Amino acid sequence: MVEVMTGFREELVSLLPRLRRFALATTNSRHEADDLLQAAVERALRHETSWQQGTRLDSWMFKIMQNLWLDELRAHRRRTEPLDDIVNLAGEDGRDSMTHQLQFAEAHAALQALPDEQRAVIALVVLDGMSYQQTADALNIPVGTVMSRLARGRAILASRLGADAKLKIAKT
Amino acid sequence: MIDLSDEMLCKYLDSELDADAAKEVEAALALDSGARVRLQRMRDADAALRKAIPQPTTTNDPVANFIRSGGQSESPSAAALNQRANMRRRMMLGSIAASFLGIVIGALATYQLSGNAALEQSLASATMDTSKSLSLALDTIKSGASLQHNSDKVQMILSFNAQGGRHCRVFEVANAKGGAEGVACHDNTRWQVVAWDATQSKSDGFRTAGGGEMVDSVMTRLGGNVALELSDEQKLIEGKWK
Repeated sequence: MVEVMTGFREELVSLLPRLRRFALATTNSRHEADDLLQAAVERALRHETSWQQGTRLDSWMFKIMQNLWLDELRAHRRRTEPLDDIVNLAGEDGRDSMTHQLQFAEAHAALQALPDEQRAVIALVVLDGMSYQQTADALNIPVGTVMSRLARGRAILASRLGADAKLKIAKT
Repeated sequence: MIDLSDEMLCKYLDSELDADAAKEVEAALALDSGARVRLQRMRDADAALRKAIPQPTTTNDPVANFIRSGGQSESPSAAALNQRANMRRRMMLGSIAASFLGIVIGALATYQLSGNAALEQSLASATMDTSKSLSLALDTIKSGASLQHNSDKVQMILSFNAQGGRHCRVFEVANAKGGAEGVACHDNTRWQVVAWDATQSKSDGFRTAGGGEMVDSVMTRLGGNVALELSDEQKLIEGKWK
């Protein structure tokens, strides 16, 4: 049992970078992302013994995070915070150049313009690289819904980021 | 000829097509400049997103130690977390409240916790011992703490002030028969259970869609949007919740 718990915790630790990025993409600010991750980890640890080895811990954690965040939105109708708070996020990992701050602010603003359901799918497929089936499992939705949300979300993002993103990438 | 819809372009972009289908898309793209532009814009947007929000590479994540301790150690960056504790607990309130799919606040509001037979009958999975355990926990333990009494384990999630000045607490109860979550409010003399849901003992953190509607109902009904700070809660415990 102890070995199972250790395996669970170590796997959870190894997932932290992915979970953090998902939280950043999902929420409105770094503080909210930290809180979401913390709440999800606390919940996972409370139910540690019920996790079955061999099952996908990442899907389980993404599911917990998505549910917690949707609950938060429903309860408080949280929307975007001041841009200053968002721009500060770009300090993550020392990437605090003005260029990156602007890129982050623009990309984050584009993400925030999406409905929450589309944003979660974009975060898992585009940012995390999960397959459609894995995303469907994590969000407990049909694969067809993943595809439709992804297509709609991407179309919106492309209209906001696609037109001039090539120029920006070429300059950096 | 294959239909180069946005969904099809996405599947091509995400390598979700088999080799034959991918070749079909490529052949169609060669004849459709508009689709090529749409595909390129999607690629550009994806690249911009990945560049703007890279995966963190921090190797010394403070949450890691918290995880390895099984949640027993100080939460990461205690000072920062304390500043944000209220938000976190509000998040938990939303989470817990969202799961009260079977909540019947009005109907249960008259049931009283201490020694009331109606309550015992109403809480299908609760026994008299459980109500004693619950009453004791509601009176005495702080949020985040748990109380083992007889065969019951009661964990207090948070406390909040409802409209009208009543103090309320969100709790979880677990025993050999299963688990339940609920809300109890104090009316200056005793605790009243105003919500009880024995169906929400799933451990995977997942709830079906629709729970959010109940969140709105619970929050609106009780007016408890903000969790009490631990210091305020401690004063209430010491003052016997009056």
